[in-house]
Amino acid sequence: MEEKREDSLQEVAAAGKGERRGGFLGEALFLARRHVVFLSLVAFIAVMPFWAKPLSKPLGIPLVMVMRLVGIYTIVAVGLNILMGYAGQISLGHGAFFGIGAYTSAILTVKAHFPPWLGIIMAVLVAIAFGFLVAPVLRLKGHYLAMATLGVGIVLFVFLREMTWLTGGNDGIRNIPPLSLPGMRIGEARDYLRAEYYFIWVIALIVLLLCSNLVRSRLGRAMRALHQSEVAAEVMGVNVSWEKIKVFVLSTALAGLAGGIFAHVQGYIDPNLFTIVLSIQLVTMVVVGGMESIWGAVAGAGLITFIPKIVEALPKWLGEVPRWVEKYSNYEGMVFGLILVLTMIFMPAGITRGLSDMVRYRRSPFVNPFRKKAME
Amino acid sequence: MNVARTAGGTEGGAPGFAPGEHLLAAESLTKTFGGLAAVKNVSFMVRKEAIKAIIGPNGAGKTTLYDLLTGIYEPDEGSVIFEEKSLLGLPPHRICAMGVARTFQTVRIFSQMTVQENVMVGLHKSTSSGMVGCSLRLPRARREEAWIAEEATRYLDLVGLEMQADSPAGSLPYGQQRLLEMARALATRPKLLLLDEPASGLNAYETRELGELIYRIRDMGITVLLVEHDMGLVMRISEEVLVLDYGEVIAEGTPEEVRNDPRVIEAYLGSELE
Amino acid sequence: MVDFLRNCPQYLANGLANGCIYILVAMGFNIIYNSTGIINFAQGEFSMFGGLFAYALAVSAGLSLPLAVLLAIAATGLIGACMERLMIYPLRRASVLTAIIATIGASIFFKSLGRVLWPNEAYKVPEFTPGNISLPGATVPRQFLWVLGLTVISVLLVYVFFSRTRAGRAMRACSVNRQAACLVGIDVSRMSFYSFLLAAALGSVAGLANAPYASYSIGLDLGVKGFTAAVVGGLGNTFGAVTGGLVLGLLEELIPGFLTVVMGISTGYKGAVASILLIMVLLLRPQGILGKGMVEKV
Repeated sequence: MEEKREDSLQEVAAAGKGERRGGFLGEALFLARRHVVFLSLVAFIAVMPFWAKPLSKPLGIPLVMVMRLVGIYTIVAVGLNILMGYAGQISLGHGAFFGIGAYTSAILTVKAHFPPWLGIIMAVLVAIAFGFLVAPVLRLKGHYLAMATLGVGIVLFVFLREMTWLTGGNDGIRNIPPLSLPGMRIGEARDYLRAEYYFIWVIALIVLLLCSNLVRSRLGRAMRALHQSEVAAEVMGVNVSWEKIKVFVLSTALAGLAGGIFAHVQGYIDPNLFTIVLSIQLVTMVVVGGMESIWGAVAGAGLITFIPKIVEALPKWLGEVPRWVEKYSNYEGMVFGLILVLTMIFMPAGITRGLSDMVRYRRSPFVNPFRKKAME
Repeated sequence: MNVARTAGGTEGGAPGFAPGEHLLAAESLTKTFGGLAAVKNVSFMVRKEAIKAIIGPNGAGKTTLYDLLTGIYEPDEGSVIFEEKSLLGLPPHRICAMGVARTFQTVRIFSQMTVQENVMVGLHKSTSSGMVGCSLRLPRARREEAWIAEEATRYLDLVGLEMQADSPAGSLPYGQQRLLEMARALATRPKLLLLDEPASGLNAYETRELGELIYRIRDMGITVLLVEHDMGLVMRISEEVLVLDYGEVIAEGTPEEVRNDPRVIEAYLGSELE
Repeated sequence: MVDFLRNCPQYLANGLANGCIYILVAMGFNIIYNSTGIINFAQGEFSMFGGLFAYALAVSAGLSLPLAVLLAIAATGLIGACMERLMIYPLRRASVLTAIIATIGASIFFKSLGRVLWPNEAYKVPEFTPGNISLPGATVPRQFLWVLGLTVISVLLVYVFFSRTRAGRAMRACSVNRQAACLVGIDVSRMSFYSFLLAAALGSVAGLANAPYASYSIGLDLGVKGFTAAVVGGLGNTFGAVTGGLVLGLLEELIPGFLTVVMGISTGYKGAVASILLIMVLLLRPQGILGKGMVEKV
């Protein structure tokens, strides 16, 4: 326990540096330091489609297509990471908010002929409204909060499925118009995959930048404070319940945004896309990527989206594989379950935090949970 | 309008409560946990810019009293008037905004944040940039952020932790964690500061320093209420002492009066006051 | 309305039968919660294993039914025990969030394992005694009597275990204060082990009671409902689980029954009843309908 605490304390010390200079120079330094990570991500995203195209075929993975999904999931995962990693409030129901976003935009564009961009904006607003509606569950803590948000996810799913007059029930909604902006046909462009890819990632990168600003601000400190001691934060003048609601609604808004985009990228949706399984995948992205880390959300979204594609492509690489490996969807849950359990046991801070610790303190990113401690 | 409300408040206030002179008046506070009275019918007043100590054996209800004053618990009965306004039923963050800050008996610093960030949380309520301002780093938010950092450094200077500003709060030794809690509480710019056993875990030298610090805080115009077991410190710095035993007030007066009160001596078995 | 009232005996019978299953799952939650402070999100999957193992042993392997049932219970208990040693023990000092996510991971893993081994939507487990009983206004399968009996026996056994035996009392001590229990010489880690064993065995009984059909997909549903039953009655309380299970079982029949027959709304909403009840109880009366007022902790 002691040792682990020491490590995490070192990390806090490192994180606190470089935030203290004021003035223009300070701001420039501050931005440059952060931009090392951010700009390299921007550069990677910008050139990716060019080298990905020739690579996709031999790999058997349509890289650009998958990266679109990674971008969409990144948007949700960032919001969920702020909620879970920074503010310490678990949600097992975010798949449903993603679904609400998707359905809002789909219904408005298909039935009311809204342009897709307006549909997506409406998706965000509706997700915000539902976020406020559900916010009372934030009074609960720990296991109770987890179960209550799971319940919220189930209830919303049942309503999506049963309100057939609005949502089309199990048949879902088909022929959702592709992405477009005023004067720009994104989803019907000649190389529509690439156009969608850039559209999604521009939004995702903006979200990442804004969120990384947010967590370093007074609001970010308030979140981290209430995570560590609600009573102390409250007594220090932080309106804990309101701060929790704000961060929760932020995360549902981002889920709605991602869901709205998702609907137009997919072209069809049905309720079974937005079950508890999706919620758990989103949580997996957050915890595997790295809690309390904005970039962890990108890593988690990337990893969790790519693993199935890689496993599906394996037969192509290896030539011959056992029969049961062929149909990945059968044992997908085993892979995810194992990833979750092993991450929790051996790398509870997630990949980005584990790796950055390894680089920074030259220690193993793994913890040894079986080691006996003096005071048991 | 303002005058009228003040006048009304005075008439309706606790008997013997003179505005302008007293900052806080607690009237017959009672709090029961599962049939056991932790605080029973406690009334007292705190003069402006005074240092008042609350002493009593363990389990006398001192911390519960603090919890009642800061809104963590709501009293079963009684009233708390702070600057002529009632604190009853207000959530802790509102009470903090009105100018009551506290430290905790078992320190509750944010151990995963740096020392400076801890103090910065105390400044949260004095700033107001919202989600939009903070995420876009609008000029106002940046100015506020710079101001917060500057102010936080000032309070760290005050308690002598400026050198550790970037250390993780959890890595500080216990005594310094208590100082950090005081800095954090001061950062909320209180009118009344409730200290809960600030000297525990300090050596004799550090305790003397703490006494000086409390004087300095009082000289900033902050009224100090002090729960403390270190009788030397209490008798030296406080102007008034309130003695609790089994949740009830058994004595109140100057340190001299309290020291000679037979009920107090009995409660302490005559041992600790010597 | 008349139709609804005429159906009521049938609703009551079905509700009672489902309630019994929820009681068994809820007791599993309680046992683990009491001795480890963990809510085991994989509790429903224990029930899944119970049913599937019984199918495998009784139908695929052709064992006699009582033997198959006993072996299925033992095998599920073994899975619970393995889960405790391999996952819960290494996480014994982890945060609540970590423990929640790890048990969720286990639940996904188990479900997927069940699906790989038994990929069909449903498998028919032979009934203990086939046939139906006709009651005035309702028809219930004979199996129902077994479910009722198993539940009553399980509740009594669990009650006796926790109030009369040394091990049971030690487990209760762990729930009150783990550190103190450790100091008076209780092996907290062993208690955690036993609690998973016991909870898995109870869960598998619930899965058997849920027969005639066993399926890989029942885990989440049973888990949420069992947890709801546990919370409705007050988490950690054996008789609370009984009350909660019965309340949930009945409401889940009566409310959709009413909505469908009287108001003509789709029965599909049935799936939301438990979750809505859960959220309402958590928000309005978190100590459960039987629980005493909780002391607020700071």
